[in-house]
Amino acid sequence: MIEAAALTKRYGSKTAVDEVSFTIRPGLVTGFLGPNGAGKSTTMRMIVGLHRPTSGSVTIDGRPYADLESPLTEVGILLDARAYHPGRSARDHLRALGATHRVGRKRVDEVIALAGLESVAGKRAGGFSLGMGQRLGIAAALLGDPHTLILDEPVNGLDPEGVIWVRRLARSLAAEGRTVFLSSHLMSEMAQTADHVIVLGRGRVIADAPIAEFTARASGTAVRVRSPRGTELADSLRRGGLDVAEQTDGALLVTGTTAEAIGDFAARHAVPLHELTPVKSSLEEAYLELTRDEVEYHSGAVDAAATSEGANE
Amino acid sequence: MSTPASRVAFGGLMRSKWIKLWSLRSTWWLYAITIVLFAGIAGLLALSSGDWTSSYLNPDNASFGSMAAEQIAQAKASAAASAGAQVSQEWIRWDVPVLTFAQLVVSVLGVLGIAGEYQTGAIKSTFAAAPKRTAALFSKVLVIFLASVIIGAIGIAVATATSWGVLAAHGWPIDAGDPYVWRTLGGAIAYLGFAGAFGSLIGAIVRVQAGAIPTAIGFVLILPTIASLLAGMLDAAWLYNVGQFLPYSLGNDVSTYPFGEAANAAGGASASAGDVEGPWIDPVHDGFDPATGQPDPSRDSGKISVGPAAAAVALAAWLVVGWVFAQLVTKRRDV
Repeated sequence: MIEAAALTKRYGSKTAVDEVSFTIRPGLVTGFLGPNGAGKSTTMRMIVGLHRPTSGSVTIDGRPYADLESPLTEVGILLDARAYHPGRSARDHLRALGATHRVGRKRVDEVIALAGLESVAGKRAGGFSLGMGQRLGIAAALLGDPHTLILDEPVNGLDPEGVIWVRRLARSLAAEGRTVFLSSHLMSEMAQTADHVIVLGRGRVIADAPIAEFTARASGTAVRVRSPRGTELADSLRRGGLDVAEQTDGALLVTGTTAEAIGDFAARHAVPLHELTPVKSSLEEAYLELTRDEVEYHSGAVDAAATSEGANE
Repeated sequence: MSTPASRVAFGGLMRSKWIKLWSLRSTWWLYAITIVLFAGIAGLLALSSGDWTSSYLNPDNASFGSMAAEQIAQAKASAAASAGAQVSQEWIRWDVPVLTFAQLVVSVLGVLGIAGEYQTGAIKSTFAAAPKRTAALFSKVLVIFLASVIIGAIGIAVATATSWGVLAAHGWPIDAGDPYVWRTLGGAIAYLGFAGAFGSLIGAIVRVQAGAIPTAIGFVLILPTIASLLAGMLDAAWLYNVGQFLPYSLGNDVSTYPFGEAANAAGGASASAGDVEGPWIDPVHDGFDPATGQPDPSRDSGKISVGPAAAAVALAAWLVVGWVFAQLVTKRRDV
């Protein structure tokens, strides 16, 4: 269980994390989403005491991280895929880390095997690819067999096999009753891994909901329509006050109404339809929608990030 | 809820740092080069000393020119008495030149030991595993101190043995029981420990290698040079005296063979030894009357000399000051 209460971090005049409060429960995979610079990493660093909050507090199982008796065996963290010395071998890195908590060679070899690093464990970690570094970071997080896992962008740089591995790992750790908290800037990744999602935008929590609820809330009202008289249909719909976008394959994407309404409308005007499909907006779109609103709400001006998000739609 | 004491044992932190230090190739390379240099320079200097029978340090070779017979007898007695100290000084004269280099190596390794962690991001793992930080920092400084002492001891043992072998083969009457030799070498080893630990504290304070390494080198080599240049230019005895308390000077104080003291103890007070320094702080009697050219204490420059005991205390004070700063910034910093 991780509990944050009005957690705030300011760097000079810039507020990176603004009164963030949440509860991350055990037995679930909780995703932490937000665009780059939203404050995810800063929040995670504050949870484990690497950054000092300007105000507010955060506890793990009821205690501040610095007061944990045995941090490594209570909380496993991956905050930076490159948090190792490039001149040291993966095995020595893990041995040195384990030595602080009397974690022995046997466990070191176990996590090396778990992360699929056996063949490179004796090599200098400086030669590792981003993906291998990521695996080493995850191995380090698992070293103390902790009850809580905090992983910042764990799939970053991983190959598809690695992505699936992390996904399964996160699910199985949560199934064992552990608290699993992982961040990503990809909603699609979270959709397949997380039970619960917290979305951060501009340092504030803008959504905190089970993934199902999030999907439902976000699922759109767009309808894909194909007709041999598409242009005519589009004009009529627009006159009716609906938003119609023409897609590259000639189909229309109509928002703001239902498939039934469009079907009835077409029948009344005797326009033949070749396709009529309700489209659930993807989680990714829902997420962009959310964060864009937040950005606009906060700044009162469209910044670069919001513009590019808007352009993607 | 009470705050339980962390179960992260200090022994575990020490073990962790020890593994970290020795699992880097650069550590082995730099330390190996240091030991080779100790042996090499000691051997070369010993070879350059030549044969005892023809050495100017051999009292039998002393020439006393046109002195009166009784003066010659006195001078001969004095030379014979201080011959032991002369030989001992010759035996370990590699010590200060090698130390000038070796202190840089151990300082830089000390800097790298901590600044390297900041630079690579490994510090995050370190502080996450030991969130109180102070114990982690202390274990790191202590490991670097110990490693520097061990390398210093090995290097100095190798150099001492090499020099002894070469000189003994050339007939030099080395007295392995000279306590001043061992005190001096002990001081040299301890100073290397200081240099490593101080370097690591600078690494902890500055944390960026590109800044910390020059800072450490500046402290060791550049600052004393500037102080002595300025003291000379401004004719400022106080600045000179301040310079005496910089680590480099203090290092020389603890690792230079105390010839005057040793010769005195042997009963051969020699005129050439000049002021005999004590272990603490003494005024330098360098005043002289320009009219007569005779020494005149009333015209002393006000300079001081720092003896080995005072120097050891001053070095410890440097470590304490460095520790207080390093600990303060380490505790507060976001990593």
